[in-house]
Amino acid sequence: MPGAVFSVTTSGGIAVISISGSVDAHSTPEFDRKLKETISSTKKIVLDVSKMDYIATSGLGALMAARSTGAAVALAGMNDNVKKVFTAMGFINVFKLYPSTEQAKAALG
Amino acid sequence: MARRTLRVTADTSQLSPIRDFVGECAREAGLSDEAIADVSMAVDESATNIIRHAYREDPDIPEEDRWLEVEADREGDDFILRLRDRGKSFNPVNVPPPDMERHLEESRTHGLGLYVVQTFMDGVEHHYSGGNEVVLRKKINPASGKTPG
Repeated sequence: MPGAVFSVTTSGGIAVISISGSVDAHSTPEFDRKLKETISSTKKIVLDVSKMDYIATSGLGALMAARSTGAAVALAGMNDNVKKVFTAMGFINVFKLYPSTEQAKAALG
Repeated sequence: MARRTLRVTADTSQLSPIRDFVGECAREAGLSDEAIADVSMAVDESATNIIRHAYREDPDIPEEDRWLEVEADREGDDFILRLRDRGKSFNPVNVPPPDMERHLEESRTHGLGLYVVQTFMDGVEHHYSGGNEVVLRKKINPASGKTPG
């Protein structure tokens, strides 16, 4: 599994952060930075995780920190492996998951 | 499968090569796709803990001695991972209470990493003999109990 690549687009007051690859302890600082930068200007965030292979607990920590700012954070396109970890950790009760980015944006809009 | 060993610098840049190595070995051992994902996650969390802690108290250890070794093997119906380092004794199975002077994210996620390892592996042990060794076990065929040909 490769490192992670993050890209951000914003429209209609909602930011979409697309994540490709694996968010591990090495890429978590960049993930954290991208989240903080985005939240500084937009309070509605969709994380497109359809191309995310894996997220470590350090990455989950960055997600929790983002949520604790009061920003609305939704995740779209999660694969079964990641969903398994989310469920085991109880994160499935904390974050809203959607099958697609469009559905997540509609829910936050 | 034959026993295979990977030795890398104890740095987070090596987490991706470690996951790839363990994924290849797990596939060779006959684990299912889901089990391969489980062991890759577990080794990532274990290796991350080791990288963060193993050499922290020994600033005088030269760079070339700050290594982490991952050994993959099959013993009967078990896929075994052994993670070794030469740092001071650190038992990740008994993680001490968080040090609140550390970064808040780090403290918050330490316990979660151990929980992932214990949830997705069938056995976790720690030994110390001149260096730390964490042993992670995963059943290859938990449903049938049969060893693939």
